[in-house]
Amino acid sequence: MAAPSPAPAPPVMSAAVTAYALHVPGDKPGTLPAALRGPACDGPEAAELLGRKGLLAKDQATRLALCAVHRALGRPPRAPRPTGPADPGAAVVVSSNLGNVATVAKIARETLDQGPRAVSPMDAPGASSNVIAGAIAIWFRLGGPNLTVCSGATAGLDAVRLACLLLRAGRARRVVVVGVEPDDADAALLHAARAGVPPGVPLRAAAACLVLEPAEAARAPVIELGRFAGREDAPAAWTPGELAGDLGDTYGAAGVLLTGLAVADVEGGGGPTRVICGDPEDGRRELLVRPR
Amino acid sequence: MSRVVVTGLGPVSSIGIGVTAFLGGLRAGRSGVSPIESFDASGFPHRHAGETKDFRPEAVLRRLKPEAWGRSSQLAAAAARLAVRDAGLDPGGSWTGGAGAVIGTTSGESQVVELLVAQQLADGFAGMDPEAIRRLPAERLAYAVAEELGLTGEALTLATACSAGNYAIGYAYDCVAGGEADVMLAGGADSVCRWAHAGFYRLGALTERECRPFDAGRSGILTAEGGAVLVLENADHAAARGARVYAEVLGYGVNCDAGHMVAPDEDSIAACMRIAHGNAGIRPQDVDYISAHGTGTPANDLVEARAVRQVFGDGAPPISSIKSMLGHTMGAASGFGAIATALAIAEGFLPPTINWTTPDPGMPWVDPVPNTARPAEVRVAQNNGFAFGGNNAITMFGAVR
Repeated sequence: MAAPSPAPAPPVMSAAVTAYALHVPGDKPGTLPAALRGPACDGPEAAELLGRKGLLAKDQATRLALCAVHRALGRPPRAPRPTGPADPGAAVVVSSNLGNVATVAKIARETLDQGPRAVSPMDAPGASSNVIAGAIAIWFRLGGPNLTVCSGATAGLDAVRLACLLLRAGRARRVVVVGVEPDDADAALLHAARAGVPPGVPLRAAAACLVLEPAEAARAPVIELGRFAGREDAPAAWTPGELAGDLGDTYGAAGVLLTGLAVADVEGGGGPTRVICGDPEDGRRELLVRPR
Repeated sequence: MSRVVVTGLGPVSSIGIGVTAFLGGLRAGRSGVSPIESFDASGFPHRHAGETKDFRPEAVLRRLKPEAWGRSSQLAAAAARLAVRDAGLDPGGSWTGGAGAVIGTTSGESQVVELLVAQQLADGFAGMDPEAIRRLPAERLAYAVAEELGLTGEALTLATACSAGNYAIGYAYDCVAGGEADVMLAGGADSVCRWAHAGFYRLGALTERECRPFDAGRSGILTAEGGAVLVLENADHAAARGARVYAEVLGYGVNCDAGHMVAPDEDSIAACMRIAHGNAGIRPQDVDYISAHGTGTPANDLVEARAVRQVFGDGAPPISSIKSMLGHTMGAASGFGAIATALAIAEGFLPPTINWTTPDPGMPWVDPVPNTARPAEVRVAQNNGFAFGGNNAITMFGAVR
């Protein structure tokens, strides 16, 4: 008689995905999953979704991130921005490695080339590394913990993990997780020089948003993070490499984007799905998405 | 939940490198501000900063090759190496398995940006050095710590701007308190550079030569740099190896103003203090000392002082700003604040606010510990960190029980 297989180790952390949106502008081949193929405005057209007011001096990544959150929260196009007190229980965690690099490079070029007076005071706040997370909080009145992570190819799943930690520690009731990357010339150049990128896979501008709440609080697909002993048999449905040919590399957005695809699969009747993120240079992180 | 203690301190600063020198700087009220040498500042009306001019990475780092890393990574890794040495942890010992590194930053490898932009302006994109590009990613700050020390746990860089050091300490605290790690290295690092100096200059936030927090004549910040890392350790793990303990991490609070990108908000900062006190399980009247964010801008210091008044009423404890000595070290700032706070508790003194001459009539309840360190018993202390984007993060420390 075969020895009974050991019980799977309990997950270290879990959370329910109560809403999500994948916002990937540009042409997309029909071979991509349906959840990715829908129309999505790029930065210059963000006013079509967000309304015009408040977008001045906002960079591409910030605009895409705002669009993804707007859609995840189910807000209609050009809906007025929320007003009233900020929700202290609603946190924001952003994953982006190249988010404001164009603004930083512009300021650095202007300073070096023309002197410090050439720098616009309108641009200066955009050089702050937490500009995307701050802008999301201001736009949607989210007053809880506000985090930005830039940990390379695993950043998207690092952000999900940070969100789960905030929920577990009782520091937030709801976490808006956003993965986002731009595709401007500075970002594309820096991305192409990365050691971990497969040759010929370009940077792709993309944003994705997950709204996470405590696992017991909602009837929705569940994310599990932690030890995966006994879970290796779960299908590894989503990895960055699977999309690279059709989509390109969404880099810091990838973990959030792939998790959104797994959630779409589960909502469509699929079983538990592993999401794997990272590369040989930056390491690896994974999570499991399962039906409730 | 496990108790979490501070067992090692690693400051790499303009007032001292290593805990003994840094403590001496705090006690003496030393200024680390000097004329800028890391770039040509002749185009600026403000030409002083807090550069860490005595930093020699090769004198501290054991495993990293300095030439393969940017200055911020070097500062982070050196600070971590010093913190581990101070903690008495065996280099390469079993503690490194599962131990993690969390490093906060505002501008990442800002001097590498400077170099690449100069190459780009001279010779176009093709002129940019691929090796320099590989040194650029900000995630390398945490990787540098992990590689220098051989850590196999979490390696995470948080870009929560000028409160990032406290965010890193908070994340590490949750990891240790939640049982996911016994030892975490946490803090922040940033480098002085031309473009960040220009950004603050154009926002009207720079002062000329002296940073004067809470003084009636305060007029702005001085940009600065450094690496500040603490060893956070499970209290039982520390006790089992007989470690010296500087202070206990009692908890922390984080929130976001969600109001304005650069203007701080009194009510939101007061709310963050209450969150931190609640998480630490203490009352305002228990707090003996506040290490202020205290940038020296008219707006920050007034808003911070008013938030203190809102939470503490007439019983506000002394509140001093070590930015008067260091300048604003950005992502490292609240890491340095945490080190100063732990030393205040362990050594029984209050770090001073130097350059202070004139009380601000708008904040008569503020005792800034003017100019001279003061002996004091510090049982509970609060370390404030605030940032653009309305990111507030406050860590709480207590004497060993």
